[in-house]
Amino acid sequence: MSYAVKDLGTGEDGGQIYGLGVSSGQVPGAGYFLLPYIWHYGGEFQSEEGNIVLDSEGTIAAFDQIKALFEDSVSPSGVEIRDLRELFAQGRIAFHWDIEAMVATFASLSPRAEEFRNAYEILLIPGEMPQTPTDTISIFHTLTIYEESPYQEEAALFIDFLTGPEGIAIYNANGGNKLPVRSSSGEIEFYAQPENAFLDVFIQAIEGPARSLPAQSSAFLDAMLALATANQRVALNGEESATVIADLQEEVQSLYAE
Amino acid sequence: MTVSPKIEPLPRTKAYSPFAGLTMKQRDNVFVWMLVLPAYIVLMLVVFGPILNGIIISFTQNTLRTRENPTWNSFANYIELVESGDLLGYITMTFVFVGLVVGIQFLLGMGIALLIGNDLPGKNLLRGLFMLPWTIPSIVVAFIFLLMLQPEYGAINYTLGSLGIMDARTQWLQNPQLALPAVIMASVWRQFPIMLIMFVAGLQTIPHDTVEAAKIDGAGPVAIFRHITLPFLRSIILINVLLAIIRNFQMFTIIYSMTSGGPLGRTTTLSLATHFEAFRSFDWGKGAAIGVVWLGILVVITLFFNWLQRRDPMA
Repeated sequence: MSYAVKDLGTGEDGGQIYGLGVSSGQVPGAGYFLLPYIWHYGGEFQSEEGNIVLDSEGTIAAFDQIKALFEDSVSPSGVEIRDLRELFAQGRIAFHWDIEAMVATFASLSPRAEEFRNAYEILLIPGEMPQTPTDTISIFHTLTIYEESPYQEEAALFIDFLTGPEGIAIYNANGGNKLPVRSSSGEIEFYAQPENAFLDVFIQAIEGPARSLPAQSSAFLDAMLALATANQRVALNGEESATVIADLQEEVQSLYAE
Repeated sequence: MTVSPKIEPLPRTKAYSPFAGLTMKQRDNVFVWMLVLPAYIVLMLVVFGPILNGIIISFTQNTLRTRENPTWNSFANYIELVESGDLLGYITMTFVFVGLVVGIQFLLGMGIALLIGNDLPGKNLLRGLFMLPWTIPSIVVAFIFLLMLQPEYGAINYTLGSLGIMDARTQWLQNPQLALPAVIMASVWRQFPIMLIMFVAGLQTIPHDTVEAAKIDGAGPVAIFRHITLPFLRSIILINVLLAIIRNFQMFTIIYSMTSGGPLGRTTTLSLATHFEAFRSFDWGKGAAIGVVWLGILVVITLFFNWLQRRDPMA
């Protein structure tokens, strides 16, 4: 397989510069970081009806691609997401995708310190087809008011405040580094900064093309862990991807059926 | 002249005592029980109460969805764990981990204790240095080894790679063959000082004249170790090994921090399995079932060691 991001030389510490970073940890986070690869090859996690449809040529192709990335030394092998962040901060990974809140972490890990913010650029994860311009994912956290809550109206008012311009301004003024993934976030004054190229890319993503993680089910985290473990079976243990994906399909189906 | 009325004395009656009729020994026993009863009540509330509660939960379907009204499902949790093969896997992994960690730290602790128990120059300094790992919290030990074993910039790969002993980018914690040895290495490093200090203390109790007499009779170091040192240390060895077994059955911090039970579940012991079922999959019934099995194994091991201890001729 040929790559445009291979043989990038060595970094300042003499270590190899990798083209991409893929985590092969056995944690749920490593699982949902694989979803863009699955989507890119035409695979899906769930159908529109909510059925698990992991067992597909697209998923198999994605897993084979990831395995090849490790074997061809395009991505470091056997590392967790925290290691990838460290390596990216040190300039040892060319392309790394992560959540917006990690920029401060990169700056703190980098030997360049705050100068790191001037040393990288940002783009949406490119999609395979024109109609799917990006495989960027958005991770949302829900705010819930329970049915039996005695103060539902007050809770709703509080949520409106939290998520409104005033609440967002207070949150970010006190070190909160998370961008709300509501499509209306671009209208909030704090985020309406077109001169900020970094923030502008994230606003572009959440206003349209980014896909939300299908995280509504209580079985989602276990399903993502199963995805991460399946990746380990193929990439680290050398198992046949078709067999592993079939096992994965069965396992996730039973999780969602419970 | 005044005359005082004659006051008749009250009839003498024997004072009532709840201990009346008891022998002196029985009264002592009652007194002892009254002293320890508060401690027993606290133990019942703090230790046995939660254990009993855990055992009951293990026989219920108690998940995130049913937490408001858990239902009794008899042995269903246990059957599911056995039929899936998971329970046997967790038990096997736990025994392998515990066996290797305890065995290695026993050999290491005994070997170093024999070394520094003698008149070795600088032995006090050595004792202090060997105790250092024990003073470091397990979570810090886990992160130290995480950094050292990092395939891209870890010290161990750099050193072994520079010496040409192995590939400088060897994966440790995500290699199915090397992950368990890696966590064993960290666990042994953290815990062997405890074994060491107990054996050093035990060696001090061996009578010098017995050893001298054996030397005069022509006994070599191996014979002295086998026929004098080991018998004298038998009790300490049994207690040390039992405590190490219990400690490592409970080992969670180092394994979870280093590998999260992976890769591919190759370092998932009973302690991690319980945590994952209860607090990641939110199946408290199944998590409690694993905990009950874990408790049962530890009870059997403890009873076995108590039996060995009772057979100790020098106890």
